[in-house]
Amino acid sequence: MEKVMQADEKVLNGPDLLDPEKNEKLEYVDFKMVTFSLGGKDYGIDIMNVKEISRVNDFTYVPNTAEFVRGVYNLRGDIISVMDLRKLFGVDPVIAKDGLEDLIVLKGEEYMTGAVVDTIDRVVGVNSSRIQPPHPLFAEINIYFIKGVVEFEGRLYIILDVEKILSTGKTIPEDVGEEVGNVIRSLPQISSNFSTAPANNFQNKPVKNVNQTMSTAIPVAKSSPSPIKANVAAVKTPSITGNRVAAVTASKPSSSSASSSRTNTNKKTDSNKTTDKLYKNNSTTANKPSGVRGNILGDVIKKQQSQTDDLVSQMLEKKVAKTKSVASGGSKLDQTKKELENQLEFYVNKVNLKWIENKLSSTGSSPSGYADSEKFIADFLSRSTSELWSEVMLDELIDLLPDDKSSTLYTWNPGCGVGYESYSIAVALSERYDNLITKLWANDTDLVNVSMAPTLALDETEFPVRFSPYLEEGRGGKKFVKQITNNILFEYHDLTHENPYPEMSLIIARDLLSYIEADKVDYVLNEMVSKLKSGGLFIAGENEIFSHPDLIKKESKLFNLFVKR
Amino acid sequence: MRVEYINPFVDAAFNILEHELAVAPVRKKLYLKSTSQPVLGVAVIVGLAGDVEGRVLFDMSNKTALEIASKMNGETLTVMDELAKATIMELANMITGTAITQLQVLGYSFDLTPPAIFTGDNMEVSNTGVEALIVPLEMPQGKMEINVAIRERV
Repeated sequence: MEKVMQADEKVLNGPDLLDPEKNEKLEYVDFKMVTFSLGGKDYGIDIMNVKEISRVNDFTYVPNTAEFVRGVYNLRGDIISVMDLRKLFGVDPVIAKDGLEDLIVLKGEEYMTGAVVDTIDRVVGVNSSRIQPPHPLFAEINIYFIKGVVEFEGRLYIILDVEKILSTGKTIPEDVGEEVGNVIRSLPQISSNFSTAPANNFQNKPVKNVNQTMSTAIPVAKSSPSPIKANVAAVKTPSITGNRVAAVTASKPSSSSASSSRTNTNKKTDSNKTTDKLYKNNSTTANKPSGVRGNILGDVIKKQQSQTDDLVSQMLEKKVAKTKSVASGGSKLDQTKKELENQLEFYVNKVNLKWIENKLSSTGSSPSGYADSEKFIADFLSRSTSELWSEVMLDELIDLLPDDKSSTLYTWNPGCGVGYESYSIAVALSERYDNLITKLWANDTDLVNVSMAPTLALDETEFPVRFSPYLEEGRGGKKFVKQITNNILFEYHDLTHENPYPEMSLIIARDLLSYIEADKVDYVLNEMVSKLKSGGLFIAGENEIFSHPDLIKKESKLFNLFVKR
Repeated sequence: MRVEYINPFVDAAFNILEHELAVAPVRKKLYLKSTSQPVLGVAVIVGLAGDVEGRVLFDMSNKTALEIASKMNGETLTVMDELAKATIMELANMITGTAITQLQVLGYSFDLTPPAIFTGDNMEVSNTGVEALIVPLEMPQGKMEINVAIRERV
């Protein structure tokens, strides 16, 4: 009780005015939620939907109800039904010593329901703009109960949709609750931004060299489980009765090991059990009659799930097929071209042809397989690809930036991937200019990667010291401050389509053109050059060779620099 | 299109359709299209202004539109009359409105224009200077594509 009291005081008294640094953001709080934990994860419910909380143990069991219904409870005269959220989400309950359980009384538009949870924590107030919708990758999964996610003081809270929970008793078959539980358990894996583990392999580090690719498919992993592959597998894992995800791909073990290593770092020790339960659920439900209240919704969800599985397995198969394909026939150069294209979506075209030819004559044989292809072009890629820029690079860029003669300076960073380069540029711009409106448009055709970019999280070891002032503690690691993120617009955009961008003073497209098909290179290059202001700067990949009538080569130590006439 | 805008539209479409048709639509993969697309038979356009400029287009076949309108009205409609058209426009309005509300929660403020419905054969919709994000959805009533073409107001 004491703990709760203190927490309340903290919220009531508002930000600590004596020590502004304690409350980094004196933000306007317009959303308050009651937070609680369930199966080791933190959840929140809009306080407007909470009537009260208490600790009780005298429910009246009602027979013949769904497993997650605990019965009814007499709330000072009102009889309310009580459900166990842990059962609903398929989580092992934590029973306190005194047998009392934490109850949240939810009030919806029609009626009240009680919900039993592991432990109720406190009231947390945030600014509603910080609430993020579930990750777009969740597209194919029915995230039924989740309204959004928000991060507060280093903890991630999943905000539940009360209306959906309240209507659970009526229309949703049991299987869905289970499926949702599975999904929620796999949540941290899907978006590694929300990782529960501290720095480890599964942080937001996409497979390195696909960062700057223009691929539209989910990037494939190599041999060891990489975060994105785990993501794809995790998307597959939740299944409901009748839909055995059982033995589709070898990636399943990797996703479960990912989940168990993740949840291992969690405080709760029953998290391992949770993972095991994932499998248990899958097997035991096979024997249950499919959905006592099975109705159209349940069927459609099953169909949707199987279609999702289809889609995902299609994508995986396509990638697996590519990894297996061996370019046969044709000259060594042709073989190289095909292999690089298949494995890395790297296109040999006029800007890199010479380099590739030279490389081929020095290695003697064309690359075969993913790892080989990566090694082949490793020296081609510009410095600091797929990572934050080094201090010398930042300094050189800052030197090159022109004086602020107008009030705005726009930059374009096509092929941004997960955003390391974009953030580096933004930091350089921030250091260079005080009174300028600097906007940076960063785009990519890899939806998964670019969607993660706005909330990119770094672990302690990942960034040069120069970036420290621009980073703050966030869920999953350090994140860039608003001052930086407000100026970057991450877009899902295909460069071969028309673009709506204004005139740019700076375009940084390092190695981008090598990921564009040969027949589109001229178009894309022309598009970029035409958007560049006269006197504007263009930075290409270090080993890329091209010429354009409007671009004049300029000296630079670290960059392949051009200026527009 | 800014990645922050994508999810609200996808979610809004999914949730509203699920609610109205009592069946969850199947979300197909999102993709980008250079705008100039033939229209399936019925197109509803809602304009967007504010932090962005552009429009949202709801594209479906005549048959699908009639079936959706029938379901929403609780009676079988066989002709694309005023009632059916109004129903489809209302659906478009609801979806766009929900998306906008969600975007507002995220901090982006958009305005929308009243919807306009276009019916006919062999139509084509083109934009210059903006590419479109296509959200394909499949329902028992047929296929619908939500086509969002917006750009930042600079």
